[in-house]
Amino acid sequence: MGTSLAPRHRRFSLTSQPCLLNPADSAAEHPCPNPSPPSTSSSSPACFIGYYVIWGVTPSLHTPLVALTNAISGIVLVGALLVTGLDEAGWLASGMGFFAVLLASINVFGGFLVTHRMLSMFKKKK
Amino acid sequence: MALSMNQLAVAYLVSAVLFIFALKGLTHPATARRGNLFGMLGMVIALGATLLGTEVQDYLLIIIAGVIGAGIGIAVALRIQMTAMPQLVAALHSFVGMAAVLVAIGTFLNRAQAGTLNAVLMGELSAGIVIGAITFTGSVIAFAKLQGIMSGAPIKFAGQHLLNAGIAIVTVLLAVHFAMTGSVLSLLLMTLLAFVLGGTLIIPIGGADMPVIISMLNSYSGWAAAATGFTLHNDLLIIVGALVGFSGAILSYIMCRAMNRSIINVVFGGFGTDASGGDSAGAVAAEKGIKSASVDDAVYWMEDANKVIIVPGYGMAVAQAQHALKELMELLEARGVAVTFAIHPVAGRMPGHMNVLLAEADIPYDHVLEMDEINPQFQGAAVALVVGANDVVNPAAKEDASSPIYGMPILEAGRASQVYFLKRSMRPGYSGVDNLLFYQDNTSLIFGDAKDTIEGMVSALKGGGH
Repeated sequence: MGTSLAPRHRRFSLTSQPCLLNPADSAAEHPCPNPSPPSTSSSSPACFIGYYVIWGVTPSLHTPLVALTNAISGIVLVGALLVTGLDEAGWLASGMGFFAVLLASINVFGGFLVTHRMLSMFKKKK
Repeated sequence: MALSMNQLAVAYLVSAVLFIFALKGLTHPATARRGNLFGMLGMVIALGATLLGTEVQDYLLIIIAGVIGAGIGIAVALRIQMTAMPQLVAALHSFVGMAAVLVAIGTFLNRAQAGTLNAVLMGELSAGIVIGAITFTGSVIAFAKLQGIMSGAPIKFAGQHLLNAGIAIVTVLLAVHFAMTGSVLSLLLMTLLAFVLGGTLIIPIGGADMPVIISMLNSYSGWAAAATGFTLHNDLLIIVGALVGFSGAILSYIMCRAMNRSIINVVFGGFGTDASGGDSAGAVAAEKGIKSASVDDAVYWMEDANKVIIVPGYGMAVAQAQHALKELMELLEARGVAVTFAIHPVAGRMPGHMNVLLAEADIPYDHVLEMDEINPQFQGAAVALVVGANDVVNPAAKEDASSPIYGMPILEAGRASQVYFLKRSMRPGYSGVDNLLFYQDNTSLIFGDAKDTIEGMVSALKGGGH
């Protein structure tokens, strides 16, 4: 697993097609002509931008960075909602969804709050 | 009201952009809190849009689970000690991993019921389960090591890498079999083996490499979310998961570079010891020709110094000495001494660990400098005070080509006129390497608990009896 961690390996991993979603565009006009089913193509420019943004994070904030990205990866909650919220979901699937929602909620709420707590402590000299 | 697919896509796009702004905020402490608010807003939009979308029809379970989860998350976030941040982060990573596994299996069950399974989907499900499961057990082991439930020492045995490779191959074969046939048995075995693999991959990694492990697991948790996105055909999860995945990967790379080691060396190297228990420190030191000093000696040199540079390490976190250091800083500054803190990128148990602890103690962040900024300043400093750091100031990294830490960039504390080392015992740092700095003429060791020693300095300065 670890061997593929160097950023250069990952930089292109999701570049499948040229992408139409450019976050710099106005969000109001719909940038992707066919959002359903959504295509993986949209991830490449977002990742590209994200890649440079992360290099810019100051080392003194690396712990808040880990906490914040952890809160953000609580986005898996969206997946948990989709599984649990399905009307036809069986009891087993609902049960799994239930625990997924629970765990991911801990992440989202705990992650953002603890990041906020940490960041509030970073002060300049009075 | 249900959101249309287009509205949902726009909401997801806005949310993804907000997450990027959130990370951008962390470029500087002054903008960081706003960044975190952008992140929260992005999450609210993403969750709100999903809940309002057509796919979520049943809210009861979601509300119950969400309220319980939110309650636990808030309670933990409010109570957690800053020194326990590495453990908390490891625990939270494990939750993302487990959630990804549950979502993937739940999706399998839902799709099996609807009769819409296909090989591609099952391949994607397998990826989600395997990455999620490895993230889960890996993080649980990291948590146990950080919390002291498990020894921080690397656990190694013959044929370990072969065993891991074997498990990985069988897991992949089971995934392929599952994708081709939809066999539930293969699914279960694959899940089980992936859980095992997460553990066996992390146990050989030592406590001192935790900053890399935390970053790596951070990355895995992102890829777990991204893999979930592929199974659900959800763009937001893919983008945001990949964003987090990259962030963790870059951070791992930065940490490895700060130790001059490759990620392969960290993951397979099993480097370090779990030295515990003190030997009779003073005696061993004298035998080796190491000078020890008293608190008063150090105070004598510090109180009239032009500049004092403090080098904190994991020992400061263990002793909870950061608040005492803040008092020491204030007393010295009141006497006109410039006090600066020098932070090595891998000091502590997670990236940026020391900065958070110093911030917690109300030490202004403009007093806290990174390695590249501070290194030129040691030369002109009267005193370097090393509090619970060891390997990161060891000149062996520069001078001794046979040393395991050779090539690691270090804080050049040895260049200060006087070096005071606060140590509990004579045991070596986590790398198990003897510190050449101890034998330098301008170095003295002060034995004892770091917090007690600093408090001793504080009361000596307050007494002003010199």
